[in-house]
Amino acid sequence: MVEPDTQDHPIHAEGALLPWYLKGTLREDERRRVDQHLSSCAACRAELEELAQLNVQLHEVYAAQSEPSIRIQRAVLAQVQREASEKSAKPVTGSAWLNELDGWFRSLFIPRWAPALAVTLLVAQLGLLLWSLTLPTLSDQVTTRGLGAPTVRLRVVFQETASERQIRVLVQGVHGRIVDGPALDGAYIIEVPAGDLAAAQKKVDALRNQPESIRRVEPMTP
Amino acid sequence: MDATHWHDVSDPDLLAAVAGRDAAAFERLYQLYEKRVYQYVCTLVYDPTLAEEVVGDAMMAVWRGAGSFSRSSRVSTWIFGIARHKALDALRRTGRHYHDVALDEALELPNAQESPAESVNRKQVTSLTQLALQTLSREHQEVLRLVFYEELPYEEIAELLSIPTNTVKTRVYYAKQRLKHHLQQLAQDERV
Repeated sequence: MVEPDTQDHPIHAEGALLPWYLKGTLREDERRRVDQHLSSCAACRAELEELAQLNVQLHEVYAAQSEPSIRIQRAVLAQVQREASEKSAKPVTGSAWLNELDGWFRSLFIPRWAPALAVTLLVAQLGLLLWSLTLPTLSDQVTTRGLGAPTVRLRVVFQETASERQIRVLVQGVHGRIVDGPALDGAYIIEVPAGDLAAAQKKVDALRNQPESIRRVEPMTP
Repeated sequence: MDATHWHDVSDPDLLAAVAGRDAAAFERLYQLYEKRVYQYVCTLVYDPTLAEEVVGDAMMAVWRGAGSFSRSSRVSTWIFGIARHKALDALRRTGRHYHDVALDEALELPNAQESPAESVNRKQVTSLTQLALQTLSREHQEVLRLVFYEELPYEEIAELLSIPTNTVKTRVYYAKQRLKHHLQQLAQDERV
């Protein structure tokens, strides 16, 4: 299979810039270079003419394309309103203030969140206990030259705003590779080389030091 | 303050207000980008329902992550980057693939003297262009949209797609050549 994108460009170097020349998104020095080239190249002038025609046709197609349903807009904007009002603690006055205070105190005695919190804590404790019991130490591991280096699997949730490039740099930074995911919660499983607990913890710390790209990192039990 | 207050405000300033948890600023940003993001995502996932889901996820990520915008690129590039990431995640989750259309067919360069638009009227040309676009790979459809509709500089397209700038240039060139080729074939079929 030959991917045309990797082949040499069949037209002049300036010709490859023509789409952006047409759209006015080239740097000034590039625009001048293309201007100069066009004055002496009939083939590129013809190419530019074709691109201008195609530009009009594509605009008509794109402008006629469908829009998303209003349902999505309503759902997103409602969620944003909820989150915005949760974050901004607006001052309230008079009886409204008293009512809010009363409501807040009452809510403390309605332990809707208590069972969920208790279960979460129990699961977390159990997970931590199992992990600490089952993680192999260096002395437990039997390795030979024929076997690959020992690895540890990490469960990683990236920030929603992390780009593919940031993710790639992070994974390469810990010499890891993505072996599974995304799970329903968006988590990926990353395998990193680590000879012992300290080495594994170092990798976890390295990833946790990137909060702008990584939301959560947890070591997995083998 | 409602969304109309934010008319005539630049995209970076709008996003800064969104980072300050201004829901009205977000509503304005949403109005500006919803359709563009949806159509871009449709180019990637080929499924209107899934595309709507991706748009919802992406725009919520914009709301929650506006503070991380660094102003090193256009706001549109940043938003499309989030949407692209979400779309590729959605494709993986649903067992579909981005690279599902072969790009390796031998390229036959058409006769430059012949314009496909010469023999058919404008409406027909639009519908033929739509048909011809659909025959292109996702990669080719994506770059054409980013250049001709979103008007992104090639450096930002390279950043968005995580590919070298030269690959962007050649990909756009071949996308245009292939589109022209399909347009000529369709126009010929139409005449027969």
